[in-house]
Amino acid sequence: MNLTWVHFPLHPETPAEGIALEDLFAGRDIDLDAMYVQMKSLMEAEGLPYSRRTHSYNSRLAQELGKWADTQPGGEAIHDALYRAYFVDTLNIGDPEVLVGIAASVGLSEADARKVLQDRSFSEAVDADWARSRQFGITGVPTFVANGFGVVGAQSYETLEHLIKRAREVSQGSNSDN
Amino acid sequence: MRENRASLGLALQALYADGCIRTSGSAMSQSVELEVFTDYV
Repeated sequence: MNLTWVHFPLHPETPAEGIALEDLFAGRDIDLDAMYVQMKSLMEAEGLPYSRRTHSYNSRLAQELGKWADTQPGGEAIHDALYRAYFVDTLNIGDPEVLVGIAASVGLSEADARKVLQDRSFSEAVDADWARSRQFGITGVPTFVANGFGVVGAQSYETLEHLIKRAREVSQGSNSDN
Repeated sequence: MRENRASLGLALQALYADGCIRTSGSAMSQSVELEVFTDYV
């Protein structure tokens, strides 16, 4: 089983400086206090830290950095680091210097990370991910897709295991047909 | 759904631990590709 992160544009319109959550959810009748309490409870049940955020930030550069990190030995550690930076440390992950620091924190080259962000050398790769998201009709995250099967949202171990087994069964069936 | 990602990390970590998942680039025959569509925010 190979795992590939495919980047999805959840809020691509977010400005570089970020947007206050009150503005992001304006007009949607969402109680931010209640939402935080609910999420904090869910995170604690999973043993995960979760902080109170005031803003959401533009994730485009983070996605490009993550795409690059996937090409580096051990670079997949950046995904958890980016989630922690946003959901725990409440950092602006749209800020290039913040991103360079995150890359360095997981052992990646600061200079290489800075160059990736300056040159936008993984922009086309993220564009391709966004196009693939549209192709698959993705509307929310996370969405798991394997060999034509998919599940949406946070899922249990058993559900993901079942997805993988079904995908493998179909794959092996098609191989034996050839 | 968008905010309900608490189980994502733990479930994937468990699958890693059980050897079900390797990261992209691993050479495995008969491998199945699991794509996780996601965002960092």
